[in-house]
Amino acid sequence: MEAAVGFKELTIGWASLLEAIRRKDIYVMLILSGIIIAVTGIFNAFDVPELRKFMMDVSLSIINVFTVIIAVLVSARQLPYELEHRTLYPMLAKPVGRFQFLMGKFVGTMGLSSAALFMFLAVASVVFVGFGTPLGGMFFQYMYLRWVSLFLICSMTLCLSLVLTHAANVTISLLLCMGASMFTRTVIIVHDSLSPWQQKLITAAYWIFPHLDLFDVSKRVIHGWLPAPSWTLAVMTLYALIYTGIFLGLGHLRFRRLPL
Amino acid sequence: MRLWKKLLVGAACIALAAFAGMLSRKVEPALATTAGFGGEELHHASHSMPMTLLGQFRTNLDAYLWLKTIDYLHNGIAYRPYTTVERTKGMREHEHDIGGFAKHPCGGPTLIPPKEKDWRGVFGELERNLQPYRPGPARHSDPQELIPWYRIQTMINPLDVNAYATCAFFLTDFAKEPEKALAFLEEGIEKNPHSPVLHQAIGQLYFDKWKRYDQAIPCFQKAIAAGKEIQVRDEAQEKAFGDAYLFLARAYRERGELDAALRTAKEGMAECATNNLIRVIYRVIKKEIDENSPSNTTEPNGQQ
Repeated sequence: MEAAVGFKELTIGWASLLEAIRRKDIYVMLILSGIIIAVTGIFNAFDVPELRKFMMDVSLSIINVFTVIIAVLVSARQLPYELEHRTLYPMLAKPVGRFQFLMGKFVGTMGLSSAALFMFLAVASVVFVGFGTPLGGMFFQYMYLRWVSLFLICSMTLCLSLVLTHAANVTISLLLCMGASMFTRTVIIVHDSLSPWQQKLITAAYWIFPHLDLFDVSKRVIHGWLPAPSWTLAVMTLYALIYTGIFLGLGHLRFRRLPL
Repeated sequence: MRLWKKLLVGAACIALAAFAGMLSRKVEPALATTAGFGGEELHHASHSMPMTLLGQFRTNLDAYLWLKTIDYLHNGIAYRPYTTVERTKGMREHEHDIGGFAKHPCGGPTLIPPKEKDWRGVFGELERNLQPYRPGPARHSDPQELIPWYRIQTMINPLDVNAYATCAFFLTDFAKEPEKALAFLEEGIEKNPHSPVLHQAIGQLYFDKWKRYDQAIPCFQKAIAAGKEIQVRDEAQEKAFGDAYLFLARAYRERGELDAALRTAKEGMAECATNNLIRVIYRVIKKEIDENSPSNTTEPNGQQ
């Protein structure tokens, strides 16, 4: 029974992937990968030493931004597209539950986002090695945490797509992903200047909002820091899975009650 | 579409691009513009909303890249200034000056608080382990790593004379490539012909690196002239203006023109009252003049 459920979800996920290929999303990724190569390729024009950090910085920044954008855009359109084009109904007429359908969509978006991420990372790795920059342990930790963060981003965007319009969902999801670091910095700086009840409020907000900034360890890679302790990776994985569970659970609650 | 048709379209596109390239070479001289904008053009530009927005975007991006250089200098560790509350408790940052115009505040606390001051519990612990963090005073990395960022800064905002000057300083003193620094500064002068900072930087390069005082003197003179034209000089301009007087006086002194050196130092003291180094060089030159004056020379019979 479990295997059959898994198979159905994978089938829906595979269908989402095929749909993305049909919509030529994969070509966008290839073009973006090409941009990474082009950007890193112009560094020779500077004719200055010590370009390793600079090259890694630009490449990893591009990867961070593009991966988040792709994950949000792909996840945000899955359910609204199915509802709008009424392709959801024949699917639900088959022995597929709404939760399985939601999970299938999550698997599909994760697959596509992961494919994009690893494509970017493969291109970046080739460029780094080509320029004589070794890929240390920290780079692989970066890859792993970036991938784990996709669970959180995809589930959050899927969940929000059930309660918000497409445009609002994309905007809010991107804000939560890109603004996480700014939010953390602001909270740290202003915390001690606030009144006690304001401090409680901001502390609660700090604990509730997903901390996507913690998954971005690109600075440690760029500046040649040693790999982070393994317990941090374990905690971050657990953190991402808990939030993924919460978002998918909330999404299911909403999807279950959605009048079709 | 069949393959041969696709290939034909591709070939036609390449031919068209090549033709356009050839055509642009022919048209280029006819479209050449003068280096400066006219008064009317500047007026329209200053009253155009898109131009203002683009200018603001350029300035912001330039400032972001400047912050990036500070980030590199500290190996990715973010420092912050003290808050108003902390300042009332007497906490103050101290400035680090590693030369050139790379003076920056990094004597403040790290943005990620230390464990004993962090209220975030496990999140704080995770951040200290996952982001660049080191307690204690800031340590600087190799400034050569900053050079590409300054170059991009000047590409985005060619009016950023401090980026030109600082990059030239790092190219000279850390990358040991004064020729490249000179070329870079000359590029800056092309874009900012009235900058005392860049004229002074070129003069100092001739003075310090190659001891070419004949070439350094006109640069310092241009820096002084440019500085005088500015009604209210900012910190960098004021420093360059004072240094131009100082090094002009020193260049004259090196050439043995002590009277000209003294005149320059005297004028420099009047123009830059707060620059103590000009006072010092003035006293040194005056002493040398006094020592060399005929009234001070000792006669063979021991009489003055």
